[in-house]
Amino acid sequence: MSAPAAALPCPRPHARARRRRTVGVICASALLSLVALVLTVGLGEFPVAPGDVVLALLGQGEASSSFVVTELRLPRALVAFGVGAGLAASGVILQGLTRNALAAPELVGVSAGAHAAAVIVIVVFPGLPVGFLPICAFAGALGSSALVYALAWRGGTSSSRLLLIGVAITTLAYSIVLGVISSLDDLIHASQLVTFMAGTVYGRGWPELAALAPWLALLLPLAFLAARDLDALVLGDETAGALGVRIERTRLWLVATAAGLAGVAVAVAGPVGFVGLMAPHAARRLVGGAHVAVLATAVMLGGCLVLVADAIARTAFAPIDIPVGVLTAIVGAPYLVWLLAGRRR
Amino acid sequence: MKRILCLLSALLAALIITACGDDESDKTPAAASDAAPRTIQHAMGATKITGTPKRIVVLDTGELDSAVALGVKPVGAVEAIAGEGLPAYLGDAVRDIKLVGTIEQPNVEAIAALRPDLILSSKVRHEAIYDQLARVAPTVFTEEVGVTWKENFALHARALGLTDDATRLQAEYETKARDLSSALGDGRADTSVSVVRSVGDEVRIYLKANFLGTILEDAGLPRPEVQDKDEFSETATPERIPDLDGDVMILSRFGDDHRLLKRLQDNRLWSRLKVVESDRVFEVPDDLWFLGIGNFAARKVLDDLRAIVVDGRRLAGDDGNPKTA
Amino acid sequence: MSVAATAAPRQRIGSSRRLSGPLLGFLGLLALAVAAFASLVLGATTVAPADAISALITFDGSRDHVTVAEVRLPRTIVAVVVGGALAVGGALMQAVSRNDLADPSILGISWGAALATVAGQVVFGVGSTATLVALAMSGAAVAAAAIVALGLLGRGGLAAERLVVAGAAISGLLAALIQGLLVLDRESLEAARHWLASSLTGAGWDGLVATLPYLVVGTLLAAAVSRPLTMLGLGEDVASGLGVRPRPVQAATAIAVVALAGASVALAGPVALVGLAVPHVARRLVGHEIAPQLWACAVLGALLVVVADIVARLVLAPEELPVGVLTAAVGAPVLIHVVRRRTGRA
Repeated sequence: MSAPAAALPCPRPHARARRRRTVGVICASALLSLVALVLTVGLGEFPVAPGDVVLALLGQGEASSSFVVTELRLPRALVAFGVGAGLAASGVILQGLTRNALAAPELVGVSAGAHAAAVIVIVVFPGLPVGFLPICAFAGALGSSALVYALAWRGGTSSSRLLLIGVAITTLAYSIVLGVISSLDDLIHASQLVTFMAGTVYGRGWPELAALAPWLALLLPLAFLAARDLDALVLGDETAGALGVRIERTRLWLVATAAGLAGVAVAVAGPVGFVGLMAPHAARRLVGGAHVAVLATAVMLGGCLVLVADAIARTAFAPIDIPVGVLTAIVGAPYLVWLLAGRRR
Repeated sequence: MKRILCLLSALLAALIITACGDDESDKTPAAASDAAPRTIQHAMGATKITGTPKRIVVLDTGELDSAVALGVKPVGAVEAIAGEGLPAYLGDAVRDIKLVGTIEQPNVEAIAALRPDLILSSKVRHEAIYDQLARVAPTVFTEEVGVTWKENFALHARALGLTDDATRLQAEYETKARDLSSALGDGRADTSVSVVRSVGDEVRIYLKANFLGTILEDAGLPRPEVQDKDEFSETATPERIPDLDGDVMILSRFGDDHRLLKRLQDNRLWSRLKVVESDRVFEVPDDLWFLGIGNFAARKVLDDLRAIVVDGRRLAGDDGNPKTA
Repeated sequence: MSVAATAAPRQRIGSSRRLSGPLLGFLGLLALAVAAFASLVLGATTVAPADAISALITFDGSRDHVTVAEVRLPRTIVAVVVGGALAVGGALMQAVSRNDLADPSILGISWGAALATVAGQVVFGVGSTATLVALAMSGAAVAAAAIVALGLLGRGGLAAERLVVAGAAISGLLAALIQGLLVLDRESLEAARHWLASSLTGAGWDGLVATLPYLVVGTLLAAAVSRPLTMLGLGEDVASGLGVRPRPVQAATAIAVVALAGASVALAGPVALVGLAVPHVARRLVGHEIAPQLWACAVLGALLVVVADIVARLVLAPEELPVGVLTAAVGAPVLIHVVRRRTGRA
C-alpha cells in the first residue's frame, strides 16, 4: 500500500493522474451501481424491460409492472445494496485497523455477535417489530467486538491475534446459534432461523429498508470521517501519534463504527459472507491506499455484489429463492483461498 | 268457471310451494348478504372483501384444505417441499393448481402474476411478507396453524363468504367425532392413543396442542400420561422409548429417511412396548394426518380413526410390519 | 520459520513434565473410566450404579438394563471413539503442518465430510449407514486434498494464522452450501438441524461397525508415523539425515487424518474444536514427542466428548442439547488461551 496521496503537501503530476484515476473509478462504480439496480430490478418471473423500470421508478409506469418493480423488487434490491455497502465499509475499517487484508466482519467475530444477538432476540421476543432488530444486533456486534478486542489485548493488539480470537469467538457463537435452533420446539421458527443463518434478503421490503437506511445514513458518514485517521494508523502507531492522532480513542471509534455497520447489515439479512472481504480487497486494487477512496469504492462494489448475487439467487431456481449468502460464499471462498495461496510467505 | 278455479288452485299451489320453499332454502338471501362487502378482522388487522372471491391463493396446507372443503379451487398454492407437489390426500381437487413457491418462501411475484382476489395464510408463517401480499390482493391471516384449525376454518369461510357451508361441514365433523366416541362406549378408557412421528433423524412424540391432538380429544380418546400435556410435541430419544407406549400407537413418517426410528425399533425396549406386543401399531398417511390441518382432512382422519380403534382395521398401505419404510 | 516456531515452546518440555508418563497415563485412563461409567448411569433416567454394572455382566432384559446396554453403552463408546479420533487427528495435523492451530474442523475437513453426507442424503436420497460413512470419507478426502493441493500446508505453505483463516473461509463456504441444500429441501432441513450441531442421540452399533475399518486404518497409520513425525519435527534436514523421507510420512499422516476425521463426522456430525484444543493440553502434559502425545490425545479427547455428552443429556433433560455446543464452549476458550500465549507476531 503506497503512501496516501492526500497527505503530500505538493501534488506532483504523477499523484494528480492517480487522483484522476481514482475519481474515475469511483464514478464508474457509482454508474455501475445504478445500472445494476435498473437491470436487476427488471429480472424475475415478470420480466420488465429497463425502459419500463425507469418509468416505474419515476412513477410513470403501467400498473402491473409498476407494482412488481416498486413494491417487490426495488425495496429488496435496495436492502441488498445497503447490506453489501454496510458489510464492505465494515471490512474496509477492520482491515485498515488490523493492517491485515483478511480481517472481515465475519472472521473477526463481529458478524457472529450480531447474528447470535439477533437469533436470541428473535427466539426470546418473537413479537418484537422488525425495527428493533438492528439495534439489538448492533449491541451484539459491539459486545463480541469488545470481547475479541479485550482478549486480543496484551499490551497492544496484534492483528493475527485479533483474527484468531475472532475465529474462535465466531465458532463459539455459531455453535450457540445451532444449539438454539436445534433445541427449539417451535419448528416453524427453527427453519426460518436456518434460512436466516445463510444470509438472505427474501421478503425484505420497505419496512426493512426503513430499519436499515437510517443507520447507514448515520454510520457511513462517520466511517468517511474516520477514514483519514485510518490512513494515519496504517502507517504505524508512532507515525500516527506524531501526526496528531489519538490512537486508542480513534481505534475505539473505528471498532464501534465497523461493529455498527456490520451489525445492522446482519440484523436485516443475516450473516452474508465474504462481502466484507472481497469488496475492500477489490477496491484497494483499483484505487490504492487512501481510505476515503477505498471506502467509497468498496461501498459501491459491495452493494453491487450483493445486489447482483441476489438477482441471480432469486431467479436461478424460480420460484424457489436461494439465500444470497450461499452465492456470495460460492464466489467468495475460492476468491479468498486464491488470495491466500497467492500471498504465501 | 272451471278454468278460473284451476287457475286459482294453481296460483294457490304455487304460493304454498313458494312459501314452503322459502323456509328451507335460506341460501339465496344468505348468499346475497355473504356477497356483500364485509370487513374481516384477522391476525394482522382488518381487511375489506367485496363479493365472493374466486381467485384465491393459499400459502399453507391448512388454507388449502379449507378451500377444498368449501369447494373453492385455488388458483395458486405452495408446496411443503420443493418438487413434491401438493398433498396427495386431496386428490384431483388440487390438480392443475399453479405452484407459487414453497411454504417457507412463497414467491410474491408469482402470486401477483395470478391476479388473485384473496390470499390466505397465517401470521406465524408469513408475517414478514404480509405487507407485500396485502398490496397484491386482500390478505387474511390467521394467528396460528394446526391446533387452531377450527377457528382458522371459520375465518377462511368468512373471508370466502361461505360461512353457512363451513358451519355445516363443521357440524358434520362434530357428529362424526361424537359417533366415534359413542361407538367405543366404555371401551374408550382403555384406548389411550400414542402419537409418534418420524421426521428425518428426529422422532417426535405428539402431545395435545396440535391438529391431531384436538381430533383425538373430540373423539373422546384418552392419551397416555406422558402425552397428556397441552404442548405441541417432544423429542423421542432411545432412552425415552417407554414414553411411546399406549393402547394404540399412531405411527407416521415424513419424508424418506428414518434412521432414528429404525434404531428405536431395533431396540429391545421397543418390542416390549404394550402396543407392539399387542400388535396395535398403526401406520397412517402423513400428509393427511399431519399436514392436512383443516376440516376436510379432519373428517377423513375421523373415518380412518374409526377404522383403527373401533374396527381394528389397518389402513391401506399399512402392512402391519412397522419396520418397512 | 517452523523450526524456530517449535523451538521456543519445546524449551518447556523439561519443566512441563512434572508427573511421570505412566502415572499420567494411569490417571487419564482412570478419569476416562469414571466418566464412561457416569455416562452409563446418567441420562433421562438415572440408573443405579450397581444396576449399570450388572447390566453389562448379567443382562436380565429389564428396562434399566436395556437402557444401559443398548442405548448408553454404544453411545458412550461412540463418544470415546469420536473424541479420541478427532484429538489424534488434530495432533497429527498440527505435527505434520508444524502449525499448532490446525484442526480438522477449522480446516474444513470435517465440513467437507459433512457436505458430502448432506448432499448424499438430499440429492441422492442415500439412507444406508455404510454408504453415508463412505460419503463422509470421500468428502473429507476431497477437502484434505484441496488443502494440500493448494500448497497451504507444510514448509513453504501458509503461516499459521493464514491457514486458520483459509480454513474458516472454507468452512464458511461449505456451511453455506449445506444451508443452501437444506433450504431447497425442507425435509432434510428438519432432519439435519440436529446433526449439524453434532449430536450423539442416534449413536448405535451399526455406525461403529461401519466406521471400524477406517478407524483401524487411521490408528495403525498414526502409530506408524509417530516416530518419523517426531524426527521431522526436528527439521527436515535432520530427519533425512536419519533416513526419514518427508513425503511418504506426510502422505501417510494425511490419510490417517482423513480416516479419523471422516469417521468422526460420519458418527456424530462435525464436532467443533476438539482436534484443536486437546493436543495443546496433551502437549502441556507430556511434551512434544509424538507417540506419547497421541496417547494423551486419545484419552483426553475421549474424556472431553464423553463428559460433554453427559452434560448435553442432563442440561435440558429429557430433551438433549447437541454435543457440539459444549465442545465449542470448551474449545473456544482453549483456543483463545493458546493464541494469547503465543509470542506476538504481526
